[in-house]
Amino acid sequence: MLLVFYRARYLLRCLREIYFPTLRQVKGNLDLDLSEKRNKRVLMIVHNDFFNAKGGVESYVLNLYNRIGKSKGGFDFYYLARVIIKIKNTERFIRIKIKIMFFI
Amino acid sequence: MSDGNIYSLVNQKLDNLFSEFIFKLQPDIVHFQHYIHFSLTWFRVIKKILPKTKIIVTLHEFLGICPNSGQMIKTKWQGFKLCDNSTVENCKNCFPYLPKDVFERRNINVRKYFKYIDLITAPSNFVLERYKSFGLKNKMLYSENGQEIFRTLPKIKSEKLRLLYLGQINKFKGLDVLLESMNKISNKEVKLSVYGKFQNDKNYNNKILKMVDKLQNVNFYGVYNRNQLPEIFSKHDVLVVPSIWWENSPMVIQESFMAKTPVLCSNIGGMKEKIIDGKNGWYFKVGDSNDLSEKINYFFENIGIFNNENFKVKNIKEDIKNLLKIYKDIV
Repeated sequence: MLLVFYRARYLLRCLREIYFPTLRQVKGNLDLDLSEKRNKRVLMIVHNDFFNAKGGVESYVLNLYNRIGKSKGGFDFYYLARVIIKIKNTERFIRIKIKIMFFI
Repeated sequence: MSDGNIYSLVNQKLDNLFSEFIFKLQPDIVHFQHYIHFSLTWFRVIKKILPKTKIIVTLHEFLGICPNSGQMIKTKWQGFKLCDNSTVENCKNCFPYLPKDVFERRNINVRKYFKYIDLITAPSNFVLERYKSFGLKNKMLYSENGQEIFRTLPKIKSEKLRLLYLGQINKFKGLDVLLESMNKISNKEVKLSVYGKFQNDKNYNNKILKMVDKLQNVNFYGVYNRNQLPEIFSKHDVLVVPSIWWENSPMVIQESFMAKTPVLCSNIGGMKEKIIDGKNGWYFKVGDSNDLSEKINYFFENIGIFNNENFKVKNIKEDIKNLLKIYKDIV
């Protein structure tokens, strides 16, 4: 019985995985305003907003960002991450998460 | 299109957005610090649109080879034991309610899309070895994460042995093992301070809170921030890292070395790799509170044996210099 419950939960999560990314994609905000390419470009990808997320990898990338900034050693750096915006409605106890792409 | 398999690491619905982005940006190097929550197909997208662009992936966990949150720990169905080998059979045993082909497809995806990666780096040889064992043939390079060095404060002297736990509080981090060992230590001169944030596991959090309540030799301080580290370390003699999962390259160990503080950690994986026994720390049998108690008592008698010169940490400036060299060599 327990295995059936877990199997059903897995299937529901799979369905969510199929449909939610579409919403995420619609909300994606990757408008680029790029100047002429003068240096080689490095795109660094990390899964959470490293300015606010507390994970070890995010802290490490934030340290890199603080030291490297947008240009270093003949390379221009760009960073791509996800941002999770939490909107909390305290009256109705509703918490909404919106996931969007984030680009520097 | 997502294949609907949450363990597949593939979700092609994001590919169009990413393709458009990559085409506009025209990067020469794409360096993935993470690929979770995106899609393995992004490696193929990059090579399809910009064949000359180089892909570097830094591995910070075992996500590509372990569907259990990349921890290489077996699930509750297998008693949360450490997993030594990522095989379809082992994964199936961890998730008995799923068909075997879920894991076969996942492994096929990892092997298929990782072929597009030009260089894999990791701050732990242990992690690289695990991925090699999985069968990946990519060029791999060990590169320790550099740290932003903070100022250190002199140790505040004390007759007591002041132990320190720093970091997230969840079942993989093994704080319960440390608290069990504190319960077994009768020496009143041994104290433990716990700094960290609870994660979303109510049962485990309640268990920890109950244990802390009963122990006279443990103080719980809750969340800390990095600015407090010099002061926190100045008041403690030993950092304890009792994780029951392998870990990769725990930042907290580097921070402890920065503060010239020895580390007592579990004898497995990426943690053990950082410790030179008796030089900058000591390790104990993973998950064994008796062995941990013995090692704590040993520390009480021998805290003076550690030489500050053995606490070496890679500076972030040095790391960036290495990183730029890697980039120049690869493009």
